[in-house]
Amino acid sequence: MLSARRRRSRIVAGGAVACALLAGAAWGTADEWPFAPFSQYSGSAQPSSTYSSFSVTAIDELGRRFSLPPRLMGLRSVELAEQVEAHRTALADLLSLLRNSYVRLHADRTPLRRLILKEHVVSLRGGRLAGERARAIAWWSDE
Amino acid sequence: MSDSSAARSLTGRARGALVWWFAPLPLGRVAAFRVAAYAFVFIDVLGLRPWVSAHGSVAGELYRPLLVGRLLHLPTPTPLLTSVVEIALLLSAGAALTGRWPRAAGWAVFALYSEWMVIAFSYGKVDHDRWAFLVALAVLPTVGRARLGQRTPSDAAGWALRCIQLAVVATYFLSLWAKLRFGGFGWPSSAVLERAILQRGTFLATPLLDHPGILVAAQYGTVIFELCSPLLLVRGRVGRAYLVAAAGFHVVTYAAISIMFWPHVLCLLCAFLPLERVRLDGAMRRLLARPGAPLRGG
Repeated sequence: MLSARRRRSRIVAGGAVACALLAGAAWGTADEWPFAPFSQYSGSAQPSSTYSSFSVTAIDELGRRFSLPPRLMGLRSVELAEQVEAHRTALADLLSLLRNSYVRLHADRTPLRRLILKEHVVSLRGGRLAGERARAIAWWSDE
Repeated sequence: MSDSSAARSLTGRARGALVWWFAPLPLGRVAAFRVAAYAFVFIDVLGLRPWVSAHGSVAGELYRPLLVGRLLHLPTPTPLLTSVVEIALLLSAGAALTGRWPRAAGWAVFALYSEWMVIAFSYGKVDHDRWAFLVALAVLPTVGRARLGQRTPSDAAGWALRCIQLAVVATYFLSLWAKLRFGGFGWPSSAVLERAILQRGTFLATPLLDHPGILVAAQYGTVIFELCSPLLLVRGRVGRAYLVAAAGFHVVTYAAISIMFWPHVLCLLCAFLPLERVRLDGAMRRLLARPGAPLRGG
């Protein structure tokens, strides 16, 4: 049986955490995790709209060209997209940092000579897929 | 109603809520929950989220520490730091799994798992399937000793399990709130599912891209499901029906867009199902029992 003091401390702790959670849900951002809003898939995608995703293409020292999944650079796809948004004005620098991450994670692989960041824009019309286009938006080269 | 009777009514309701919050529940459920939660730490770290340790090798310039990381001056992840945290976390979870030091090992798992999550979420994306699991890791050590199959009711166990139950319900209910806050009232009729299927849809869901009406209906269904989540706390048939619906919701989500909120589902099942009735004869109990000592867990 819990003593009155232990019961009180549990009530206070539980109440404080509940208040922080509710405040985070009402006014917070992801930055306040663990008291962040539960915002996954909470954005509203209009039935007629466009959205972007990003990919990286690499060319190694042997001249081989291949797609470089974000996980090989230590990131998830959605993290890559967030980093692109955060580095919009310095995307070549971002690619250089991604290359460094790749080297740390895969020191045994053939070195990379060039990275290309592509933006894929998907169009929806009336809730249906209407088109998709990709364009290179940044480059990094070791030359 | 006069002021004094309104105050009495409010006090009565608050007292009722406290009675519910501390209503005794069997210690065996806490013991079973501990086994599931601490075993899940291994599955999570080694199997489900190997990318967390890879964050240690990501260039430090890409680290965008969360507020908690900035307040506590947590260091920028490096391969050494992530390895140390990972090993310490797994050792703590292993110790907690044996049930020898339920409080010390449990608190260590909570602290280290929290740091592991800060490392996970400080590169631009925060997941929201961890809330109930973090609450579970925080409250499970408060119960003290408990053993598998133990039917003894305890108010400490009741408080801990109710906290996890509330966290599970809050995850659903506040997800709905977030949809209203960020997506607005138009969220149910938007193309969120269409987009999700385009990005990560399975072969089961892809044919639905030609039927946006079905996807919009599913979004309305999600809103109703999350709005009704407090029904989980209702005893008896209603609560059980919602539990089954919630499990079904997660299975369908996984089948459609290959997203499974593993730690949340673990909390959903372990906090609401009467796990104390599960007989863990044989290997598991022997594994958790100290050689030569009476069978004890948690």
